[in-house]
Amino acid sequence: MMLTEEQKRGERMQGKKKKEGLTSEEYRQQARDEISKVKNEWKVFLRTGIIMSAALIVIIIACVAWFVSNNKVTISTTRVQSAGSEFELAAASKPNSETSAGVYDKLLDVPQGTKSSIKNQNFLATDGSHTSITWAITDDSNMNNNTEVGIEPGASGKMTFYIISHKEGALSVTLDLTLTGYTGEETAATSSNLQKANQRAQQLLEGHVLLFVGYDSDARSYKGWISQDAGPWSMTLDSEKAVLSRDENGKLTWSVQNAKKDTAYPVTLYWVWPEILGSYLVKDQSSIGKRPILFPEDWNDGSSHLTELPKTLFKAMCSLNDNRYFYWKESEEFAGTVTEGKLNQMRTDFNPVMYGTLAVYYNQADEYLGSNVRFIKLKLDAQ
Amino acid sequence: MSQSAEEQQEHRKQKKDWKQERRKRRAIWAVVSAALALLAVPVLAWLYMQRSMETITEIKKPEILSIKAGDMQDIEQLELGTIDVSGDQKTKDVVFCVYSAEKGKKYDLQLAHTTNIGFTYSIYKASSPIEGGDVTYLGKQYKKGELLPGGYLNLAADGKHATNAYHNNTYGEYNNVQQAAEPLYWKSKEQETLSNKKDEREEFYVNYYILHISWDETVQNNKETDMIYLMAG
Repeated sequence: MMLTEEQKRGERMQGKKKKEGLTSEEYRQQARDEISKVKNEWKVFLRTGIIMSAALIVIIIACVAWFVSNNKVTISTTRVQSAGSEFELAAASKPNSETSAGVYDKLLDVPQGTKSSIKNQNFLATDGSHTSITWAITDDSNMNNNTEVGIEPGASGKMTFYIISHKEGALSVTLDLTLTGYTGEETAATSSNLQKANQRAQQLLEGHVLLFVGYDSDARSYKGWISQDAGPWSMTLDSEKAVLSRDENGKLTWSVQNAKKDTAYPVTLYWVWPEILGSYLVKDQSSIGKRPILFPEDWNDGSSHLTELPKTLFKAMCSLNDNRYFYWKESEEFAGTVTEGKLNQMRTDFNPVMYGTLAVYYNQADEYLGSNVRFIKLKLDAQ
Repeated sequence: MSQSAEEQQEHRKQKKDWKQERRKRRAIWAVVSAALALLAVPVLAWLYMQRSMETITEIKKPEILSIKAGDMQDIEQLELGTIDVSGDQKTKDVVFCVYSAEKGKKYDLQLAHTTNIGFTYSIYKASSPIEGGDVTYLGKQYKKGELLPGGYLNLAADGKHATNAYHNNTYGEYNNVQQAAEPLYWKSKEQETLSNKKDEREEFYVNYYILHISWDETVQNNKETDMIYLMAG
């Protein structure tokens, strides 16, 4: 190609222009070429992009479909083993093929567990394709949802679950228990008729319907409180030296050193709705009649802390925010009446008159609960 | 000269090709890693152990406990009004009832009264309205049952007036209170339980009581007034 003089000059000016010295016409042409090329690139990108996102959607839908596929497996008196799962959750079922469903189970969105039998005991258990199930209800293990209708202040009971180990050796399971309140008509037929209760009611529910891991029927006192306001504790269960413990942060762990394969380890939870505030405060029954004592001991560093009053509980009870125990209309009146000092005084030197002024707020909270929560769901998560 | 121009053009072309090559490679990498991530997440989720069990129960609706006069008659009809103590009969009986829509409810009965007049108050259990009962009130007859066990919480040594035990509860910081205005508090010893059978109207569960007021010759018609409170809870 023969270069003109201009082109040669342009060549020499390499510092500024990287391109050859072209005429303005050719320059414009080049610019147009670049623009149309960029436009074409955009089209190509769109094309591949659409195809890519289509592929993406197909992959997502395939995964979701596989996840959600409800393959019902009915097996009678056989163990269901899922390769890879270290344990399953189970609850004892009623004998003689009576239904072990709770009276309100129609309001839950999960299926019943799979029938399973270990050493002549019948269970309804989770398995690989049913990871969330309903808790089987029997006469010994229920939340007043067996034949009776519902709970109220003063009610108490127990719920037992089993951890079925599928491996030998050390097994450790993290547990999480939650109580959720719902409103809805008494005649509610399905979960779609339920709505979550408002935040205040939910908080009061967590402070009034309580869960413990032990109960002393002679002393009418409880052990091992499961709650955000509880302190750490540790308890050895009778069966096979399993240990149940709660750490400083509220993590609940069940562990056993020498688990045996296909063995069901029971854990019993005790639920209670204390009728009066006194149950939280006192150490003995002299001022509360035949009602249960929640924390019979004071905090003692260096023990298993099972029956001890958590260090920060009375402070939490006086808090003006997120109070799980009391309901008030006038916060100033409440703050002036209920103080940590007075709560402590009731523990050491019970005064019925002062107690009356404090208990009013507990009873009002019970009334608020009764009007704003209709159903309570107890859920156990394990991993 | 033309050679170096050609070389430059070649060089530029190569650069463009190389850039395109890089872009292509990047695009392929992006798609492959996205696909891998999408596959890995559900597989990991399946391997990650999580099990749960749940149950649901109901909170019983609280049913209120209330007091009415006679046989479920309006509480306004529970009238003590003016009592003439000069007559031969030295007693007066009024009947009241405690009821609720919920059966078997447990409650305490409490009576509080001032002591200007030297009346003696006692509460008896009563039957449901029957024919031929010993007490007539508001058109119905009742059979008087046993005395309700209970006692005064703040009776003074003279057996007539109240001590200051509950002064703060009643009057707070106010101190100009005559002794007879200090109320006497009476409380039933054991908890009462509402009947397990509905009353004849098939609506409520009702327990009947007779408030028996009696006096002796020391009580005169001298226009004294007392306040009486009946409580169940």
